[in-house]
Amino acid sequence: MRRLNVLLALAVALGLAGAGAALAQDRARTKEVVIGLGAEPRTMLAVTIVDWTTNTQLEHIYDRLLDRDARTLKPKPMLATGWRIVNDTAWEFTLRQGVRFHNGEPFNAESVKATMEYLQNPASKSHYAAYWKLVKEVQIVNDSTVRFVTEKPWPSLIDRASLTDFLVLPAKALRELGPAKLAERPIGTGPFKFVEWKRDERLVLEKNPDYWQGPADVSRVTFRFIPEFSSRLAALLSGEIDIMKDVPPHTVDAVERSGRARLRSAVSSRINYLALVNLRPGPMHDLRVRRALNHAVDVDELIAQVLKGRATKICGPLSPANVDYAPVECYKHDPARAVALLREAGHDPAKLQLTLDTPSGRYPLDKDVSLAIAAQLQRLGITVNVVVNEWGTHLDKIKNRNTGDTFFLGWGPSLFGQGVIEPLFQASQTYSSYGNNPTIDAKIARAVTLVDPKARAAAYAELQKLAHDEAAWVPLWQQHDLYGVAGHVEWAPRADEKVWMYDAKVAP
Amino acid sequence: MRAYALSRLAQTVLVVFLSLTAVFMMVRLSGDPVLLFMPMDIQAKDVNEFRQRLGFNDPVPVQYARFVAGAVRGDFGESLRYRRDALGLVLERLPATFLLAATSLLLTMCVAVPLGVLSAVHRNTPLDHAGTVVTVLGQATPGFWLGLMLIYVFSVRLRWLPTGGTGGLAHLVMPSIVLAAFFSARIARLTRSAVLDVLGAEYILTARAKGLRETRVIGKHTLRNSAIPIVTLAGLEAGQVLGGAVITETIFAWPGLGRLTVQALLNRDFPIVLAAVFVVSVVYTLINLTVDLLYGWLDPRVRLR
Amino acid sequence: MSAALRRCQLKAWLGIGLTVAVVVAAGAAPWLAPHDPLATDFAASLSPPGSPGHPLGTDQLGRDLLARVLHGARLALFIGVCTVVITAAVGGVLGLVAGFVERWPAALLMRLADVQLSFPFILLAMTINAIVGLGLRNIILSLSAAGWVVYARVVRGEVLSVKQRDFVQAASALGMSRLRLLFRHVLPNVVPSIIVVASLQFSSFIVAEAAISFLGFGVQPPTPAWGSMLSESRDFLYVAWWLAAFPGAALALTALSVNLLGDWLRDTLDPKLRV
Repeated sequence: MRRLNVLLALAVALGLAGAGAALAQDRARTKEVVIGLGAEPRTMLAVTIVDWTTNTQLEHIYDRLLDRDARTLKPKPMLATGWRIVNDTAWEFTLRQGVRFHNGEPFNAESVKATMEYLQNPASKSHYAAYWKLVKEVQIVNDSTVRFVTEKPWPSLIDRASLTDFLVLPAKALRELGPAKLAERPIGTGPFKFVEWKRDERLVLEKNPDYWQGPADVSRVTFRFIPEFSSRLAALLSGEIDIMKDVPPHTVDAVERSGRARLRSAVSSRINYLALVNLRPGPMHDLRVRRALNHAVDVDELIAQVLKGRATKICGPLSPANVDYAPVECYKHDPARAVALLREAGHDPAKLQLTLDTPSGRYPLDKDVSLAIAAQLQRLGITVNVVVNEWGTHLDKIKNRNTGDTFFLGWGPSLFGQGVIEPLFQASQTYSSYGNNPTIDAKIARAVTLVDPKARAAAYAELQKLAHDEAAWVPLWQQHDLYGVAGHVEWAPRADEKVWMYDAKVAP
Repeated sequence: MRAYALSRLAQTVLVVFLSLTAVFMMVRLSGDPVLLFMPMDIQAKDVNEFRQRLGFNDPVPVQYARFVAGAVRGDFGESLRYRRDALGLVLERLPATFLLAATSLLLTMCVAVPLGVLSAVHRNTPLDHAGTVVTVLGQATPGFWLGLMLIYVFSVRLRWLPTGGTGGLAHLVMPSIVLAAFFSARIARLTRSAVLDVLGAEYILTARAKGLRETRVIGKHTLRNSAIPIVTLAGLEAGQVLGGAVITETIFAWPGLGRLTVQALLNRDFPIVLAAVFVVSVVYTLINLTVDLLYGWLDPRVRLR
Repeated sequence: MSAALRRCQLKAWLGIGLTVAVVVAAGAAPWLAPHDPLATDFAASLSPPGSPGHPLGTDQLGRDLLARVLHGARLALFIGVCTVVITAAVGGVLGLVAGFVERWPAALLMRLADVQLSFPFILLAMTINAIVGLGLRNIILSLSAAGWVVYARVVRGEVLSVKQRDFVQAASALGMSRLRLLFRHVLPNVVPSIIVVASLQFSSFIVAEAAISFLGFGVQPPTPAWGSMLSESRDFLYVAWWLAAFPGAALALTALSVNLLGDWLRDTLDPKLRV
């Protein structure tokens, strides 16, 4: 019995030790913000792992070379104050002076060069090596000027530089401490400094008082990792967290009515689509069948009924949030036309059997959307067998081209044309569903090297028209990013999915 | 005693080695791990280059040899997802799982054993019937459903308890109840029948005849003698408690070993899966060894061979 | 004693009654269910229980929950029966062989069984599923692969003890063939144990299947399996409690009834057996 008492005392002590978690009112007073995300970061080292969750947390610690305007999403100065095209294969960046890393080390041309060298070093096993492989080297022109020399003309360089694809590391610390130490205690130039990372629980950051844009209003940012929507929501409504990512559309009312939090939403650049697979044998080889499906699926109904209006319809492969977007005409919802096209292609809708592969829980209500699409096609008499896959299996099937005739996928953030058109419309690519079209292949090869903005816009407009006419997908929508934000925090999400607490204000 | 310990040790090593080999072979068949942690918008040949660099393009025997060579040094490789040593990641999660398991074990002992004893002592009274109903229901209620319902009532509706995660005592309440529920039902039923067995024994009759107080009869003579089957079951179930922890931790976002393993399985993060299997096997064997040693202590007649 | 007897009979009747009810509900699901479990009706999505035409309400796609729960029973019983038959056959035969042969292959087999028992059942089945893929057939396979061990152990133990009995030793000494021994003396003694183990395993298979589907490794939607329904329900816990409550209650009820039946079978057939 005495042992029992000791255990009990121990448990109580543990409980009390952890009970210091501050209440929402206290947080408002001390200007602390707690954000509930679905997963934890995979590393604390910049430019190593491509993952939205990781980078959205990292960019509080590290700065990008260039930022994007919150509204227009055009590149704008950050650590680099300006850029110019020297020639077809060289870009020059002017760097901000007087910026220091959290350890006191100055930010300069050396930092940019060291960052590129780190990520291109095979030993780093960085995912970003693939993104930056066209860069031959970074030359130091002087302390505050660097030149990116590329192997061939690469207009999208500026698009990459203005994402989390280039978060700048400290050169000296990288050399002296090594990546492993930096991964434990990250050092950046960003508005917040690293405090602690409790695995699978929380990441705590504190305000950097010497930030070059001036200190943030928020004094402390805590990211908490809560995988379930419903748990995140309960945590938000009970005041455990202040900002919640991905409010499920059907619980929007519950958030608004709670009095504790409001809904903040942004039309994301992330798109969802139904791929009509012509890279494997089947009815989707026939353009008429692909067009028929575009007429048969009622996207507006899906948005209204399944997503409760929380999505913005798209008609081509790029969304208006993409810098290379050009409008294309929508296929009209027209079941009669769909049936006519199917018959023309030699299919009796009542005898047509299709398979639709979908992930579950990866995109907003993905599985439910797929089931709803199947129900819509059913109205034409088409039998659709929906196969719900675990995410890894879904990717495997797409890669090995053994999905069904159609599959559901999301893509993003898709802010520039190359990032969507190149990987998704050529047979040689991992996740494409459509390809073997020599015209499109040739036009993509040309478009990705065009440096002149006008010619580039024209080339991408043409590609979008082609993808639309070929009915390679049933384009669905841009996702809406829905955030629940506590009353005392002023913050709004943006289309490029940057969740940046430097922009947040806390009103007690 | 030493021979016994040595043979147990040899068995443990064999068991762990066989489990690891089986899991290694199985995970290698489960699909391409590289796609899951690579960005989607890079070229196919870059993905393949990565696969090459990580050694996934080597023949399976080569990979296995490399794995064994590392494993004997306690090196299970780097987590594919987190880029850190897998065993370290697993061991980091162990205290949280232990805390949860210990709390539920405590809860089980505080609830189930008294319940079982009371049922046995007051056999065939309404108290006993009520106890039976509770245990039968407890045994039939799936833990994950109980967890969902508790979250619905206490977190979503009443907002008394946090839905998950760690922090204070409040965070521990629902997960430990869920983990304890099933276990308690079995322990309570077993305690009842074990106590009933002992109560019929002659030395209890003697003790009573001597005029010992009932509390002493139950407390000292009966409980001690009923302890063996209870401890045996507890040991046997230890593995299933770890299994239960997988589900409980997932529901309540508890940062323990079970949740890590589920995530690793979903992400095909093989080094973590293997390290977790290793740790689970070792822990389980240690628990059973402890149970064996407890026998000797509980019942001096049991000699360890 | 009469009180205990009454209590035992009450449990037995309850177990038999409930089991019959579940089996009937599952068997007659297509006729009992008011709707097709897969038919969607967007306009009626997330209707609460008691809505016209939907006694238990509807889910996010407007599918009738009662229909889904009833069809879920079919699936659960199907999985339970298949798994129990496979494990009983495989585990039983291996146990018989191991009990009779008593040479090193048998010892190795039992060691293997020990290895497997050292691993949490759910985790093992889940790992197998993560590897061989998801779906109905695969979950039956993985549950069977994880579950045969108990039979092998029980049957082997039973064979060993039967072999020690006087009449069997006598028969053997009189030159009775092994096969004859097996059918004449061993099987009749082993079958009750197998039946009892099977009845006790049945509910744990059903619950395990649900748990694995719940974690996303088992039967995939839209197939109406209780586990995957519960898994889906988590996203809607805030707005639709019924999606979590009813499939889980059905699962618990089924487990309860089979457990009671199993207890009764054990008490009648093989009171000493502890599984």
